Amino acid sequence: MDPPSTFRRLRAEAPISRFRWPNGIEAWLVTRFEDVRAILNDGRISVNRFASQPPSLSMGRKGGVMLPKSLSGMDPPEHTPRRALYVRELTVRRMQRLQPRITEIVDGLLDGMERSGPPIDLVEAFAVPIPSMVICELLGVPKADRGEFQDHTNTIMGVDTPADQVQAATLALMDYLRGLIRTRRTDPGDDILSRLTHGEVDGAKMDEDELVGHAMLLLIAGHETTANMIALGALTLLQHPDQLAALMADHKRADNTVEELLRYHTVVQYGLVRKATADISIGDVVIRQGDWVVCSLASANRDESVCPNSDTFDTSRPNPRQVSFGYGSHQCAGQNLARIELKTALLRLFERFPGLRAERPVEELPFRTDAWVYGVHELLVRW
Amino acid sequence: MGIRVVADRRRCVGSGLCALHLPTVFDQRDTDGRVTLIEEFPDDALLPALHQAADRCPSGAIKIVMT
Repeated sequence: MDPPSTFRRLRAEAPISRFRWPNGIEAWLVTRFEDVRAILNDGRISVNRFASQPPSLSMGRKGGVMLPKSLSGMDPPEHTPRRALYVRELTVRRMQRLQPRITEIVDGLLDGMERSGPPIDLVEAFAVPIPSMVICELLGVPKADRGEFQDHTNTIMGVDTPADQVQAATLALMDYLRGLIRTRRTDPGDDILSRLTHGEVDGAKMDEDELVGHAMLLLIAGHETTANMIALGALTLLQHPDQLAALMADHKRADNTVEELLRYHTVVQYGLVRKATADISIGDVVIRQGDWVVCSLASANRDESVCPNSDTFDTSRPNPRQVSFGYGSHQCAGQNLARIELKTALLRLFERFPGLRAERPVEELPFRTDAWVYGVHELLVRW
Repeated sequence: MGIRVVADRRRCVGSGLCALHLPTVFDQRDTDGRVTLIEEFPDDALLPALHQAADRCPSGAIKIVMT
């Protein structure tokens, strides 16, 4: 459950250093918390990874469908007005208003688990459906279509799904969203997709391709990440029964618990790739214009200089500093939704099943060490 | 001696972290999710929380000034 131990040595001895990635591309690797934040918030850094080949740990990313260019690959001036359209949909206030609906979704899945009876795979039955159903809600997917929508997203996220099926499901989903966008042009609802469809960037409405790209980003960015944090969160609390008991005895500890889970587990495990658009002097090095830079969020989160006993999971740390959502102008726009989903999922799960336990010891669990998003492939539980 | 909060809306990227942790001082605009100040001169007791808000802000848009 810990990031590779090499990071500790790098933070101490070579906090910013050059490496060659498996695909032959060289990049700077940034490992310390303060340096990672400094780079991610530096105006001389670009997120445009499409002009030339970036450093990649890719072992054959599933699907291979050319997704439309999204917010995560845009720099100013394109980025700024488009990000504004997202963040106004995902404000703290809006997400708090969504709380009752999120609770309903979570409770419905718990009901389903009770009906099926143990043992259950918490990943499949609980962690994966929650964010996908919440996104359906946010995008205004009509109830009648949610089954089909879920099927496609499950296929895309499935660990054993063959690449061609992932591709087919991705294309089907994009087609579905295109149709929904067309409907919303003339018949808008009270949902993100309708508002994006009617929203304006630089005085003009966005075209269908761009809107499909936005909808897919909302889905992709908020699905695997949140699902894996829910599963890892449940597992970690099971591993630390005293802290679980403290949480269930006082739900006010939930916000802190969630923040410590976000620090302890960095699901975006391969770091954030950036490109320098000018020379940057940082620490003992000079990053040159045109250099690739990879910021390791996982290493930053375990930086002992900002967090004593950083490898210990400790929910009594008050509001721990963490960069799981990134930093700078591309910091996760959905983070407040993620926090509420995580909090609600974990509190309701352990309230419903106080006797919850994992079937297998943690050493035997299949962790997602070679996926983009870290987590556990399966977590069988009983209660 | 008092505290003055400065929130730079142009730097703000709409993360909402300030509003999340200190809703009595910070809010988010409906138009673009950016920061609005509810209380420019908050109570001294909030100083540690204000420093945290300034630290957590992903774009460095919040400054705490001692007056």
